[in-house]
Amino acid sequence: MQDSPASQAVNALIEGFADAGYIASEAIATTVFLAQQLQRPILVEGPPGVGKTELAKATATFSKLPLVRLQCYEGLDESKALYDWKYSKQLLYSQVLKEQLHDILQGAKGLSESVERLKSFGDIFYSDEFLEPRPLLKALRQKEGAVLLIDEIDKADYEFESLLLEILSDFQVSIPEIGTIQATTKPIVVLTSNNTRDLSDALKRRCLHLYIDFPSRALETRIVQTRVPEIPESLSEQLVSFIQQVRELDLKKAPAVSETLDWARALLLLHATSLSQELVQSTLNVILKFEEDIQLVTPEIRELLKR
Amino acid sequence: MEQTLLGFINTLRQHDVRISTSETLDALHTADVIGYSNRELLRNGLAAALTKTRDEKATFHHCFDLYFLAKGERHSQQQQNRQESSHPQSFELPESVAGEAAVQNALSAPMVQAAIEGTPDAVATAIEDAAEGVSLDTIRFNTQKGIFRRRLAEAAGTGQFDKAIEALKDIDSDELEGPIEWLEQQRHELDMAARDAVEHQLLLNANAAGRAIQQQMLRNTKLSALEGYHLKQLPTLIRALAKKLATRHRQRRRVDRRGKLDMAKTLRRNLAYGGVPFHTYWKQKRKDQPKLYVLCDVSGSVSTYARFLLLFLYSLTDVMPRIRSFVFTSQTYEVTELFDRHSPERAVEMVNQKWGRGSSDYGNSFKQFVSDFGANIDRNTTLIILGDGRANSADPGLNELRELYNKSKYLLWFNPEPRGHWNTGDSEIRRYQSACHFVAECNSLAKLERLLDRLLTVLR
Repeated sequence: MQDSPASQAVNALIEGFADAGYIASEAIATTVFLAQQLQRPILVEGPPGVGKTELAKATATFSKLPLVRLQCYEGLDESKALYDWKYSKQLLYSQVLKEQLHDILQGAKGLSESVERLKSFGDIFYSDEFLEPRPLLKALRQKEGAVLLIDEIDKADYEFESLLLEILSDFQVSIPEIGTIQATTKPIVVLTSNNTRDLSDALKRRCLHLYIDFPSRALETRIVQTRVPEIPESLSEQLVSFIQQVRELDLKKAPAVSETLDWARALLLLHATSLSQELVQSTLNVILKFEEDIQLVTPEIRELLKR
Repeated sequence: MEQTLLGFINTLRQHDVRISTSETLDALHTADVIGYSNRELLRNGLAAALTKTRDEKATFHHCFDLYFLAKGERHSQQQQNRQESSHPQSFELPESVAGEAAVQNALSAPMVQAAIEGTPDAVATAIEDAAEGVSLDTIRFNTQKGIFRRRLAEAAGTGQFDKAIEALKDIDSDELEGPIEWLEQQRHELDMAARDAVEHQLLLNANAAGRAIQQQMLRNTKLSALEGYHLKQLPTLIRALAKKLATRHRQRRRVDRRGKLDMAKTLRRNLAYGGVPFHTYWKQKRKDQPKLYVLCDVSGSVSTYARFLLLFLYSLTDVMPRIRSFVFTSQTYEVTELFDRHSPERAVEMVNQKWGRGSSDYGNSFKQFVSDFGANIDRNTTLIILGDGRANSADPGLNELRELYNKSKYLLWFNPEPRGHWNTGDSEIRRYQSACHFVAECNSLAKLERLLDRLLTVLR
């Protein structure tokens, strides 16, 4: 059973990710494998700080492709995401070339002849020369292919999703003045969403969907040991066990994996070898970001450490 | 295998997972790339291609187990049953009659032959073929079980066994008793297999059609008449309705790029281009974010409605302006924070537990609301009050309500009582009507949906 080429490829991916410092579950690796094979974008959802963005970075490192990142925010539009014209350059050139134009047009009789002559020089000002590629176009034009990360798509406006559809399904961009630009090599696209709003069905339909939840205890211990290798094994186990229990409490914001790592690094700086009540109390603000949450956890620390 | 996969997708659809044709193609490609040999890999791959939310993923895993595991396990279970049964395992014809043409003739039917030769999986194959013939996958209701079972068993070949048994009986030989008993046993097994197949298919189809009818019914029934089981289903239905409303109202209207040119801004921003106005800026009117306040009566008589109104409103947070919510019986309490911290379902539950008792005192509650929060009500505020307007013959608090009416943009009163009961007994709704922009009846989900639809249109 282990011999099927697909499962070999998936295992290779898991190892590759591990080399890039990213511990992937089988579901994650399978989805990335499929995305490569079917050339589909991946839509990654999950609570903040579970490594959604990290997945794209690791994919780029692992496949040795450049990472092109587009951070979404409210009001993002095509001139910032797709392409723009270099207006000032166009203006500058047209000023400088005024004389040249004069020479070209010399001797031309009447308006129509001048226009004819100009026509023969083509649309210089709306050519590749004056095109400012933004992340999306940049990713399509990478010769070797690229990993395109569209981060926090749920923050962008509803209209922006529709703009993405052409790129996501056909890997092409239509620029009215130039025409359609096809991807030289199809990029691997990763979209992330924190689920602050529902994405449109049209967008979801074009993507493979991956939900990353908080990792299991074993997986999180491995993550800590890979990312913070200097930490003693007993401390990392104790720390992960504490975090896992804190997540089950009724918190405003549960600590994410990134916060576990921050905590591990902080404890390392303090030369801690094991968790004590005082130590946890004084460093609790590393993993909990709301005063109410800290107040809720503080009386429980002793109990949580016992288990 | 393609058929199996398509069957699986159909099952998912029956379980309310929305799968489009392009996703079906994706699933087929996925199966091509991954192959069928590693089940976990296939499971993860199909999950990525077919399901697009967390809830759908849970449904997917449930169906995957039901569909694929069940298929394999049922086979092995049947095999095991056969081995454990005390009946003779193989068919033995006494030599004295084996050669007779009549006997040979009686046993010639293909299903009977397959049973005699012990062809592995003969029953399962026959059932699967027959299932297609009688279109078993169209089964929808529990009441169809009998007829489908009979048709399926017939198509799978119980008739052939019947004929064989009858033919052997006609020969009337004592030595044939063993074989007849064995054949009857085989027929019974086939029949049982047909029954299992029907039950299984019904489980897979999950009664989708029945559910659709039920949901239609739920939407139009009076909310207070629902109980127990149906009440539990409402949150799901509300979420679905809310999603539909949200999509309809999400499309923001673009601010028109017309009107007066903002000269100062345009010049300043275009200095880089030598004053040539590449970018134009228009004078805009800034519109203040509308505010929505909800004040719910949670006393015994109307608490159910308050629950669903709050649940509905908070499922719409995507498109609604920021909501502040208050509940009252004899006093007013703000519950906004509960909804900020917990899921709407949980918060509603907590509200009911904490305050959902006693009888309502409109006068006192309104007075308190006005003194505590009245200062926050302005021309941008829409206030919804949910209550039956039965002031228990006490002070109805009309003056306070009028004050709110004058200060707010809209004051809407949602009354869960049917219109015919208004103004009977201690109901003060007519007097309240004079101090509201709009009084509406809202005692079913369908009405609530329509009201909120209009509210969203007005708020924009």
